[in-house]
Amino acid sequence: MLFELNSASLVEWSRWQFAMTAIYHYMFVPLTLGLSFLLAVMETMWVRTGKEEWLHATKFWMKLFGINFAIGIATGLILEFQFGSNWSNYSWFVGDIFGAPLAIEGLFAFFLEATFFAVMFFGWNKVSRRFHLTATWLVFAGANISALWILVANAWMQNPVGMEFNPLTARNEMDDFWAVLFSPTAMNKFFHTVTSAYTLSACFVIGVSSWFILKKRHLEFARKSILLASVFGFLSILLTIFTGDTSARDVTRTQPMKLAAMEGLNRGQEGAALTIIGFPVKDAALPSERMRSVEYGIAVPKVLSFLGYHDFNAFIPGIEDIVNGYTSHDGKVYPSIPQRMANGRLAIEALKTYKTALEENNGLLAQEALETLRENYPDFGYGYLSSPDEAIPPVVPVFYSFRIMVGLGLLFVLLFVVSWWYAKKRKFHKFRIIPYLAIACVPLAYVASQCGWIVAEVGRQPWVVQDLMPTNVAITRIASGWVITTFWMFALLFTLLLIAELSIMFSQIRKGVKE
Amino acid sequence: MKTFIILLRLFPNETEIGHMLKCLWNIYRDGFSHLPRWGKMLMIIVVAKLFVLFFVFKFLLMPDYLNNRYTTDEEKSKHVLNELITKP
Repeated sequence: MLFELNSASLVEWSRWQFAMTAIYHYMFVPLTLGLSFLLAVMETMWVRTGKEEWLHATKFWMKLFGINFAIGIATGLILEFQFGSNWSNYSWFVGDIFGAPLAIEGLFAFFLEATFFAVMFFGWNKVSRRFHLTATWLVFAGANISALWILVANAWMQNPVGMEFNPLTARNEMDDFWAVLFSPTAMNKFFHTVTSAYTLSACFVIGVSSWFILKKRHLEFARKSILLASVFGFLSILLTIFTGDTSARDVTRTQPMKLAAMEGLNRGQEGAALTIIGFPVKDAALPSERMRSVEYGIAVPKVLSFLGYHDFNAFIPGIEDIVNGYTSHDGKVYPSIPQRMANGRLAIEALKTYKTALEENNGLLAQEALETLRENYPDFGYGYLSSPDEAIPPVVPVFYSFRIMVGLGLLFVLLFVVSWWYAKKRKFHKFRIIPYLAIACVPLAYVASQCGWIVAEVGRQPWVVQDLMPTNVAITRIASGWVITTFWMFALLFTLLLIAELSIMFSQIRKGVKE
Repeated sequence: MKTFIILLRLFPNETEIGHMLKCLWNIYRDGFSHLPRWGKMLMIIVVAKLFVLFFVFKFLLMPDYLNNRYTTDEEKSKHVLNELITKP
């Protein structure tokens, strides 16, 4: 029974497996991205001033960075394994576009890890100070450039541009590398993700330093670390908010259903309000079971319209508008989902006809089918939906995740300001609530990061590639029992790795700074 | 011409590449041989993890579906094309 092919179960388990491994993988990534910058700054301070305290600080944080890096390294490969085994239709369909950024990422990662990382860790007293410093900065640059390529690939799935579908190979082929790299979605995603990773790293440094302050150990080291991290964190969270704003405008245009789900917005409005807090609940009066009514909502008038178009009176479509068709604030007409489903079916039928016509050497028919396919290709994926309801993502997790992410982001602004102020005044230890808050913000920063990914990835359901490929088409038809088995194996492996990371890291933090 | 020669000097020649690789090897060798206890533990975890990832998962449990069943790109295209036109 377990190994029978059950399509619904297979899709769900494949999704859960990918989500679980991505969540675990992303527990290691953000600290690598942000802490490498702080290390490079601390080491620069040491090289410029010659003060030994900066050297001790660099070595201490580098140790924690190394533990996180070593445990996290290659965990992302599991996601690539899954593309090949569980998502073979998807990986073939996007192969050329996904392949190029991932290959560049692989090369960067290899050279980074093989050379500069080794110099950074083992090169103390073996290479000159400046060469060592260069290696540390290159580790930071390499890690962040590596992230760029992964995020470009992810952004293409949210907003597929710069490609053409080849019906002979069943692949999307890249015809404009720069359009893929510099699409607004890619740029927003990259800067929003890395700046939020810097924010998390700043929370980590302040949290660990706060522990030292509570224990009355390494007080000057902790104070300096807090000062540096709070400035870095404050600038990072400002950039995260700014790129969140640009991302909102991009999502409004490219993924309006995601925006409507984030807000639980069922009917479109001019001057739409942004819900600060509320409770999305089932409502029998709504036309779809997937829709939710937001009850006890507290909202700020017109702010959602402003976020979407920088115009307080702009029209923001709700789920019903997107299902029934609407004209956007910038005048673009979007057909209804049933119409797009019809277009998609035409495209799929045309692909079938094209294949048959080629086999029968019927050039005229093949040409006609190709034209129909190209004309309807933007709605290709809708042809696989069996009802318009399927185009609606799960509202509840997206709604809550968005609010948790934003709420925690605002808490971090407060943390950075308060931490900087009290560390500067050397009063950090006098108000014990501040170090406790800082320690609590370490796990909360991880929660905020993961919520951001839930908004991005659950919010775009049912699409693996926006409008072109739904999740149930992307999967490999293998026995669901196999996916369930590997799901639990991954869960065990990652849990063990996380326990190992935390226990080694805690033991090294307890040992403290070598002075 | 002078600028060109300076630019050329930026790229290492064979002897310099050999020297750099030797230095890198020495850094690795000395680094690993002087690892503290927790570092050795970390290395054991890394090696065990890589073994599980590549041997157990990649080769035994999660082989690439298309590469495992088809040898040419044409066959893979045909398979995916059929999936695209027959999926519900």
